Amino acid sequence: MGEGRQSLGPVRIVVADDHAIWRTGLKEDLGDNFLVVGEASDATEAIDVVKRTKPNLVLTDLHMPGGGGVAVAKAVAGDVPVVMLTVSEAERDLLEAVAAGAVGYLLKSIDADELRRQLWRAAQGEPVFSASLAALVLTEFRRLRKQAPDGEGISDREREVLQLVARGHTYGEIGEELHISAKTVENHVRNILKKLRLNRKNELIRYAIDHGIE
Amino acid sequence: MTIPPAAAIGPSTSTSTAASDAVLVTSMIRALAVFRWVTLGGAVIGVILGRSALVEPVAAVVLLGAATGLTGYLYLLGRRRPTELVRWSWLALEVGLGLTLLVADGLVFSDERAQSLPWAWPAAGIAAVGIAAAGRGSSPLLDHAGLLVAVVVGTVSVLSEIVLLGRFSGPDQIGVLFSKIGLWLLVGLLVGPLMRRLLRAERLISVAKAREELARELHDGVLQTLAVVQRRSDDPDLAALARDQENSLRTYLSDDRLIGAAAAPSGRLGEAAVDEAGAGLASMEVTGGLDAVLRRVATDAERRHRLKTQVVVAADCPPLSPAATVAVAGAVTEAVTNAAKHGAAERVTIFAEPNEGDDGATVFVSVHDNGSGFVVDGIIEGIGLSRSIRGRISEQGGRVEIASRPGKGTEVKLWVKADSRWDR
Repeated sequence: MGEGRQSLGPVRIVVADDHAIWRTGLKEDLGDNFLVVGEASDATEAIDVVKRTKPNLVLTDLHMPGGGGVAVAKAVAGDVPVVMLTVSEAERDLLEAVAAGAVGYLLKSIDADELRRQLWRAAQGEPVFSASLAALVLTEFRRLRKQAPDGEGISDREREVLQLVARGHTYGEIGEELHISAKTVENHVRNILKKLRLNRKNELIRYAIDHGIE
Repeated sequence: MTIPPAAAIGPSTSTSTAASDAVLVTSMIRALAVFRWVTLGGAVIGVILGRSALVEPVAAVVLLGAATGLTGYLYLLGRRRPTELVRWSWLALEVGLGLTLLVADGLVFSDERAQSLPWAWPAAGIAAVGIAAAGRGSSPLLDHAGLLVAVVVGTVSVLSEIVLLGRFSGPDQIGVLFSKIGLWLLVGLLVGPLMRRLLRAERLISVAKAREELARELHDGVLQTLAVVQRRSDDPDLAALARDQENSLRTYLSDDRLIGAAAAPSGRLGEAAVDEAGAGLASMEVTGGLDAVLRRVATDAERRHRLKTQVVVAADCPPLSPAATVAVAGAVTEAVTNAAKHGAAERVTIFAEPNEGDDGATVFVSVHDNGSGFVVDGIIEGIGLSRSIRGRISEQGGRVEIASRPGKGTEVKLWVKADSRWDR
């Protein structure tokens, strides 16, 4: 994942969604600070467009033909921040997408101001962590701890940060509450994401070994 | 679109459950065919081994033939037209033949033979009646149909021993008779409740499946459209309407009241719980789990006050008792109302998860707003926050903490014991 952009000027963004009306609507909402350099209507096309146009940010629908946002995140999240768009927060796919490297997700009903703000932050390399995603990740780590009590979990501090996000606090508020800087809060969140990915990878390896898949 | 209340979708749901009920009932009765063949085989072997004691060999063969015929016919019927198996005429014929075999047993053998015609065979009839009755609904008669037939079979058996044969004597014979009657009563007693539980479990599964499918459809279609309207409409009223409908729909989808209704038609969480809590929330509908209840609270608050809410409930959140659910709903309603009225908040986040400290024996709930906040010790008692929230929660043995600072919003935190009946 890129650690933020070097150049100033508009964020070069690729928008992937299988509904054209969404892409048009999003383009209108993005405003002058974003430049849509490519569009795609399925995962394969999206990966292709991203590789070709080398954007600063990818905004992709979670559910699309060709493997959806998860496939996109798997393929390109190493080079560019990927943000998921979804209508529902109650889906396991979402966790899958984040574990695959997405920096976060936004609900499709988000208002235009908030959309621009969050995407701008994502383009600077910040994780876009909503309250629901934090709760989803907390639940996942609880599950992991029950399954493997001595596996690598999150620290008490990381849990605290995550719960404060789930309770609707901003990074600034969390920093104030815990007497740390907002930047440190952000680092905690990034570490949590890293651990989530690592755990997912380990789980896949364990599964493969248990089922005799080489 | 307006979301229909659960009652309005009732009829179509019950039609589909009736169909799946019928499938389950007939397949259970079909499964009895195996039992009939096995006990019939036992009877044939018994007659062959005890042939020296036969006084009426022809009658014995005829009776065995009749039992074989019915066993075979019911087997074929089960394969070709299984729904006919539950007809009372077939059930009556099977029970009747079972009784005939029992009575005839004493007549075709000489005295010293205790029993060899198929005494276990009538158990299939008892089971079939019990299963079929469970599939027809619930009434005192239907609930005990299997047991009733078992009692009839047992009585006929005892009477035939005493009246017809006058040989109800000797510890061996009494022992054999009572173990037979015990078996019939056991089958009659168990089959009805077992079948009812099976039917209920299947109904739960099919309702859950239907809801899951519905949810998937709605996610891709209606929720998507409502989101487009909210994002692209210049008319704030239309956008607000779309948001309201989206909230209602999400509440409906997160609600397990449909499942509850299928499981226990009379087991509404609502009234009883309200009485129990005495929280005066009679006008509020409190059904479903914490997730659904909190979403309903949030939707109501959005309607009443112009503010945006976000409900975040962890999937592994343990359930609360009905009374505690009502108390939490009341406390959260109060906290959200205060946020809008006194704090002029625009956003409220309602969060619930199993409490980390005690491994989920307690549920943690937080209501956090971005309103104006206040000095905790100064204002709080004045606006009744303390009384209405603390009162409700402490009645349930829970704990409340309120954190607020001028300009920094307010957060109300609650800890309430999870329902102890729930196994973690």
